[in-house]
Amino acid sequence: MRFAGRQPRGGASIEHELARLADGSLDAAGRERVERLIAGSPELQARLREQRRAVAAARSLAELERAPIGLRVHYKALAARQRRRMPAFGLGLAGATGAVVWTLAALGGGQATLTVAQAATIAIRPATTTVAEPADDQVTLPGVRAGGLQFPYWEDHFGWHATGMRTDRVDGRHLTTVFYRRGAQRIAYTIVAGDELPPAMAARITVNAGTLLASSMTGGRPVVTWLRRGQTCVLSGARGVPLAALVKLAGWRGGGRIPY
Amino acid sequence: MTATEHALPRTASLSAPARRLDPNHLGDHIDRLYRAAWALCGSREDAEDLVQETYARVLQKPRMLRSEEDLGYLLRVLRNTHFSRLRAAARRPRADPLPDELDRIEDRNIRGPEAALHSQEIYASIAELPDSFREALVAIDVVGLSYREAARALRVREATITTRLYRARQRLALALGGESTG
Repeated sequence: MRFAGRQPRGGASIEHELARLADGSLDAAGRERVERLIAGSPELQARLREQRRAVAAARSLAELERAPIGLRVHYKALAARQRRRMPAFGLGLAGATGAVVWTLAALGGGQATLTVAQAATIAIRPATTTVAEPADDQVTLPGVRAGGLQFPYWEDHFGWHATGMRTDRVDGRHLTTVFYRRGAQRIAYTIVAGDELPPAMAARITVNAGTLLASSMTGGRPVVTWLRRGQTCVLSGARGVPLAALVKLAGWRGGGRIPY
Repeated sequence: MTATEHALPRTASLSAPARRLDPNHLGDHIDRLYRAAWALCGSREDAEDLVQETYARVLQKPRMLRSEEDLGYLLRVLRNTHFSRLRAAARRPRADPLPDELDRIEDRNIRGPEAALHSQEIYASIAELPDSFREALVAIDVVGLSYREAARALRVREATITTRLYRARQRLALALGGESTG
């Protein structure tokens, strides 16, 4: 029996028919014709089973595998960033203030869109004001707020002493940073106002008490980012500060008294 | 891939009206892209990086498509990005490694060990296929493109895709265990 359709090469036509029959893309007439032929050929039956096994295996991946949550977070952040950038194409640094040129220039940034890496560089800047100590049994620092969010008081639990704070304006966005010190180590906790920042491309996403944390090493410095009430928090450390220590701090909610 | 294989689909697509790729719906394809990436790379971690980079490229600027489905376009960018990454891998500086302690943090979205083993075996077998066979199988059986869409995405003739797909399935079935039909 002769198979319908083109004969691309030798026996390719029967291969094409079997491939399409196996995945259901062969039209009704073709299906009827090939099935009649297969009924009389154990060899073709075996070849069809083989095709179907492979189709079933490949399709089963759809049942077994979905994109991990971290990847979805990255995509969402990228898409949000792209939406923000679209109207601003071609504007470059026109909107940036002098106070933030250091950040963008230091990173070679050619676009006026804030990144986690840029926000994290604030960790190396000096504090401009001091912060007050809280009263006993408090889990947040008094008098320091950003977008309605308070900064954690970590000294009693983790030994990180709040040493000062600063505010910056980058890409039209307000950044509030509190610095902490423990021994010779220094870290900075920045809350970025506005839409969430895309995590660093190489960030690893983990879940801690229901909060997605994006961890990465940027320029040799550990950086963890997450969201609190829709605002991006960036916790960055000096070289030598363990990333795992930042992850632990980032996930701490003060026994539920720090709103996330 | 030869210049001849490129010719037909590309010429055909140029006659169609252009439309703008809608970035708001690209996320709908993330699961399929992720599976395609894993099948291409053979590694879950590399697949995540590849999908991230693919989306970053696509979202970098507005895109116009001619007679091509979003998913087919994304698959083509994914494939091109994959090969770019392979070429660049040797000369690109390695990212700072993350500390080992982080590996101990549980990913609660991970599936059960049995399912993981099963899918890893399939991905590993697909990753072992020759490039052209693997791409055909990924496009049609993993991503779910039609033969025509796959031919457009991979810039080859539909008949070529079908032949490659048949052979790819033959090898995959054999690799996963079962009777061989030669």
